[in-house]
Parts: sequence; C-alpha cells; structure tokens
Amino acid sequence: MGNGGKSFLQRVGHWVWESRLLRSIYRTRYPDNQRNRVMVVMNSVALHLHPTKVSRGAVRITYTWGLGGLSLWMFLLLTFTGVLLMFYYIPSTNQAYQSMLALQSSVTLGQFLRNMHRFAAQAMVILVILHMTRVFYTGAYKPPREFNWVVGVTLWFLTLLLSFTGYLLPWDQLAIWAITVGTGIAGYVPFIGKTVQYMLLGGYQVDQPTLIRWYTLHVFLLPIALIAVMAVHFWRIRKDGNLSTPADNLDDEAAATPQVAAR
Amino acid sequence: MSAAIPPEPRFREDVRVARAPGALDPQEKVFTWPHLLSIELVAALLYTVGLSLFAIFVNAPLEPMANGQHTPNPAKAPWYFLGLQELLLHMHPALAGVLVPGAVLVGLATIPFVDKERKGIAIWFSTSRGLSISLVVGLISAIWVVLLVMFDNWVGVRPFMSPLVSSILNSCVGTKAAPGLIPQGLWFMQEECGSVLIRHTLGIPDAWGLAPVWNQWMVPIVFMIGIPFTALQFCGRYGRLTVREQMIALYAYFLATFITLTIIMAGFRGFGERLYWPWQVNPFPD
Repeated sequence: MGNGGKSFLQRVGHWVWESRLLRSIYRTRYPDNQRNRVMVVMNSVALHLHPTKVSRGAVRITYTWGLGGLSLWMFLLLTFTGVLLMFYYIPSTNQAYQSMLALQSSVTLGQFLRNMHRFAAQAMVILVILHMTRVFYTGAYKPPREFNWVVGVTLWFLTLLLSFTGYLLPWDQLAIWAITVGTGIAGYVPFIGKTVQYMLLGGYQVDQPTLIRWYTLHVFLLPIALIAVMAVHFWRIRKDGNLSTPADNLDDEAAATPQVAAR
Repeated sequence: MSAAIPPEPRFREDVRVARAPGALDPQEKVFTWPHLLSIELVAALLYTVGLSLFAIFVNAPLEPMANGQHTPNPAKAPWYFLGLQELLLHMHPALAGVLVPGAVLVGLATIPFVDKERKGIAIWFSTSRGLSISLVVGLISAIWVVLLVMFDNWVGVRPFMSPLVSSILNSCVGTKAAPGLIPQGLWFMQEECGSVLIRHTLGIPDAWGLAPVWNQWMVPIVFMIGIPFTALQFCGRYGRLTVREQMIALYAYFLATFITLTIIMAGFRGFGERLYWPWQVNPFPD
C-alpha cells in the first residue's frame, strides 16, 4: 500500500480534511482531545452559545427534557417553513384563501409544508409552556436567574402573539372569527380598549387592513422581537451561570451532597 | 497537529459516566462536545422525525373561506386561549380577557422576586412535600373549576345576590323594603342600581362599563382569590409552608385551572357555547 499503510479512502479523507478550504471553514480539528473539544465549541458561531463544559447533573435528560432547546429548534423550523410559505402566500382578502388552496393542491409538498408550519407552531406553544413549567418546578428561576425568568415569561407571551397573528392568515372561517373574538376582548382594556381594538383591526371589523397588519406582525415585527428577546435569554443563561445545578444551593449544605443531587 | 487517536476510553469523565450512573458530584463538569451536543442532536432529530410523520398523516385544518356574514356557532379561539374564552362566559370581559391574563403574566414574572431563597435549586419540586402539594392543590383547583362552571351554567349567582343587593340598596337609600318585596322581575334593575352605588362609592369611572358589578366582578374575584387561599390553608394544616412551597401551590393552581378551563371549552362547549358531552360537540361547526 505504501504511504505509511494508509488506505486510499484514508488518504482522500486526509486530503479533504487538511485542505485549505476546509481548514479555513473549520479551524479546529476533529474534537478527539480535550483542547479540541474546547475549541470546537468556542470557535463555532452556532455552538458558542454553549459553555465549553457543562455540569453533568444539568445535562441529564430527566432534568431539562431538552425543552428549551427544542423550543428554539421549533422557532428555526418555523422560520424555515414560514419563509417557504411566503413564496406562495398572498396577504390579500381576495387571494389569501385561494393561495392556501393552491399551496395544498398544486405545490410540490405544499400540504406537507403547511402542516409542518401549523403543527410546529402548536408544538412550540406547548414546548414553551412545558419549558417554563420545568424551570419552575426545578427552582431554576431562583437567584441569580430571576431576571432571565422574567425574560422567559416575555418569550412565552411573544410566542402566543406569534401563533395568534399567524392564525388569521389562512383567511378561513376559523381564522376571522377567532380573531374577531380575540380583538373583541382587547376592546375591554380599560380606557384605551377601543383605540387598541381599532389599531389591531385597522378599522371596525376584520378586513384587508387587519390582514396586512397581522401579516406584517407575523412575518416581521414579532419574529424580530422574539429573536432580540431570545438573544437576551441565551446571553443571560451564560451570564447567570449556565444551567442550574444543585451546586447553586449555596446556603443548603445538604443539597450539595451527591446523594441529594442524584434525586 | 493530527495526533494519533488514543484508545477508548479517552477521558476521565467518560470513565465516570460509565462507572457511576447514580451518584453525582454536583460540581462535576463534562465537555459540551460530545456530552451535551449529542443529546441535543438526537433530541432534535427524534422530535423532527415525529413531527414530520404527524404532518404526513394529519392535515392542518382549513375551513371554508372567511365570510363576515356567517358566524360559526360556536366561534372558538385557538386552543391556548380557550381557557380565557371559558372565563369570558362567567365574568366581565375586562376581567376575564384583560385583568386575569395580565395578572397571570405579572404574577409569573414576580415569582423569583417573592421566592428569593437559594434553596431547592435543580431538584424537582425542591422539597419532599413539593410534589404532594402540586397534586393536592391541582386537584382541588380542578374540582373547584368544574363545580363552579356547572353551578354558573345551571344555577348562577343572581338568585343568591338578589337579597344582598336589596339589603345594600335598603341601607343606602333608606327604604324599609324587605328583599322579598322587590319583584323578581326587577332583579336586573336592582343589580344596576347596586352597581351604580358601588361604582360611585369606589370611585370607579363609568367609562369602564361596569354595570353588573356583583355577579361579573365581585363573585368571580372572590372565588379566584379564595380557591388558592383555602388550598394554601389546607396544605398549611400539615406543616408550615415555605415560600417555595407556596409558590409551588400557586403554580399548580395556575396550571390546573388553565388545563381544566381549556378542556371544558374545547370538549364540552357546543352550540351556543352551552355545555354538552364531548361526543355531542362538533369540532368543526359550520
């Protein structure tokens, strides 16, 4: 064989892996030693949200259930499917419903695309509620993470708004009557209710101005807001000491023992 | 740089993972790669496969095109607002649609500023009683919600409030009329009068449109505060509750109420938003 006993595939692999192109993209070599395991996380724009090391107790599945991460994953999936839907959807009262029908009947994988967006949206609402419940029941909102809990509650509210604004877009009976009921409630806000209602509807009933407003909120303003607040949320996770661990119970000596932590 | 690959296992924490799955050192750390990233990858993949399969076999609902002239009966909100929609049937819209959800959001956000102790972090339910408190308060809340919904549906508070409003009217206006002497048909008028008196006494502006203060404001508020209060008292009989345990009780109240109200509106409200059995409720009303 020659070449130090390397097979053809190994040589190709080495050539690809050591090429200037790949080295310019991935500066860190495969993380098979401690140094590279640190570097691969630090040097990646996607992975650097993580610390290089994490508490072993905190990464147990039965501790976090991966709910926060899955919520983020749902947001990314929704952004991807949402952008694809925007290629076909027309935010006009005359054409919105027709574009839904066309999407389902004459676009390749159109029905699947819409299903994924709809169900991922429902899933995200559920996941965010479950994540909040997990954080609550494991006491992870306690100092020093108080503010990030508040940020999380804001994210839950924004998630609901995103889901609700998307609800109108198919322009079917389900959509406009749910929004009619919903904006009707906004009319009962003390003092400013009628103004808020008029602002949400762009008039006195759900019509074209409502559709274009809710479309803009759904595809631009609320996602931007969610991304901004998510950035703060993730930043604060790192700054507040990463995932909560039993080691955070500074005053509680019993909780710092392995037996209690293993519960 | 490309070092020879060492034999397995490579790192001390790998050995520890293999040796001691039960006993954890709270200070112990592992590398994010691979210990966390592998979990995240597998979770995202499994979840996405599941969601994709669901999206292949189940289609998202699409009803007939929007028609402003034809109101479906009942018109239901998205599932996460169904609990609020159920509340709307039992109290003033400003209370059910604005103040209660506002209070929930503010209340949730306030939790860490009330429960400030650094104890019980990263331990499910924090204390040995945490789970029991959750289950008991959750159950008490759910039972209360079901009973109150049925009571309001078939009986209502008006028959009980009439004598009360009459006596207040009597004491305020100074007449000697006993409650029974005011004809039942005039109940609504009494209610209006009582509301006006209360509104003026409390200085609440008329712009709020608070006509039936009694049955749409006072009674619901008393129950919404009373249920968690009595549940806390009940749990407190078995030992003083820590602040954390009180928060656990309140969260259980929130969660159980949210779930119960959502189930009632989703599964038990049919035509005219009246109560039906789930198999009588048409999930896709015309």
